[in-house]
Amino acid sequence: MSASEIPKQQILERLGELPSLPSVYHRAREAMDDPNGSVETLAQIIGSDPAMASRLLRVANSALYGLPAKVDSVWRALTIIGMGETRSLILSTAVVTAFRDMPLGAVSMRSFWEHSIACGIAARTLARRMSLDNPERLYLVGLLHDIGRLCLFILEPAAMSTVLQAHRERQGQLHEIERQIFSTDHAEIGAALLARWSIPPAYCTAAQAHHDVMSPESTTVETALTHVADIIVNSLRIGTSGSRWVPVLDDTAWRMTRLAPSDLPDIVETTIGTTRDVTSAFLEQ
Amino acid sequence: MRLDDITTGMLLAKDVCDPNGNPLIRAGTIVTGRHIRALKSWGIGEIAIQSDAPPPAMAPRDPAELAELKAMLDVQFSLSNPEHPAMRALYDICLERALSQR
Repeated sequence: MSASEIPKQQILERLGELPSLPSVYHRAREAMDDPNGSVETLAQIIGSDPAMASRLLRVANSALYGLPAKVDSVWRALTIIGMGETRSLILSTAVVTAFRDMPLGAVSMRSFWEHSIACGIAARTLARRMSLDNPERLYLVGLLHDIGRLCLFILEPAAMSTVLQAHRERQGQLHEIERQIFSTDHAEIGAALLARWSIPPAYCTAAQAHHDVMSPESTTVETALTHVADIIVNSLRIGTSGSRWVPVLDDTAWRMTRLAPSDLPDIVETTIGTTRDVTSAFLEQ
Repeated sequence: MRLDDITTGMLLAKDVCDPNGNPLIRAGTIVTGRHIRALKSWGIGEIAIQSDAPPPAMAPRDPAELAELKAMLDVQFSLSNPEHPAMRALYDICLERALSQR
């Protein structure tokens, strides 16, 4: 394999060819950024797109939030979930829906999102276990961490099948082989796409660095938790974003979680127990 | 039976449900330490136990089957760092799950 067959710049320039987020997302975001905005206005905006509204209600009623009773109005769902979570719910619904019907080739879209959702749930479970503030944000970090792989599958399908083949033959981890072929990897491409979508920098950093945990000083807790969640989910083989073999667990990231190996069975149980229902809520009719 | 009297390995006779009637643990589940801790945290004080529950026993494993599963997992973990304590724990969880699904 010759190095850098496809230059990074070429891929970055083609990010515009990927599906864009629906207009309802942008309108909802404006309403959420408006200091005078209200939940009523936001619910009206979402209600103007029936597909988005019904998908959002399905996800709101899934095991992701564990609401005590079923909600059947967008306004009520947003009120119960709260503004911070609403942002994440709208963005994740918009992203999954935008890519849902794209052909991927080697990996099924369901399998890809199942992996991503499981990573989000595992990261959130780890954050709760660590008693971090606002553990819900970790769900979105985990959900989006491999989005760059989706870009590569869609934009460079032929090169990606070569990468997958080499990985299957255990020539190396998937992201290492990506770097040989593309002079970049899904982590960097994903961070670029998230930045293009104006997603807050913490999410971009975690996507960019989830395979490159450095020292505790230079590593954010989001990055460390995403890394550990990815290892857990790859071990359990809940869906896949292409990787077949379990990556190396970085000890710095593991120590940042302050967990003991004996904490893992509960985390695994919660992750498995929640993922299937949430995946169905996002993807099924 | 009161939660204080429950020991691991007992067989659950009825679904344990939350106040809305959604099942939390299904009837027929063998109670583990994790279940007991969860029940305590949910504030559930009593559950129905099947009186003729079989004594807990590890089902005897075919050594060839075990070796086959381990060989599969060894390949799956071969590019990682299986000597790390957390990876060892994950390996064991995967093995346990694979065995329970046979």
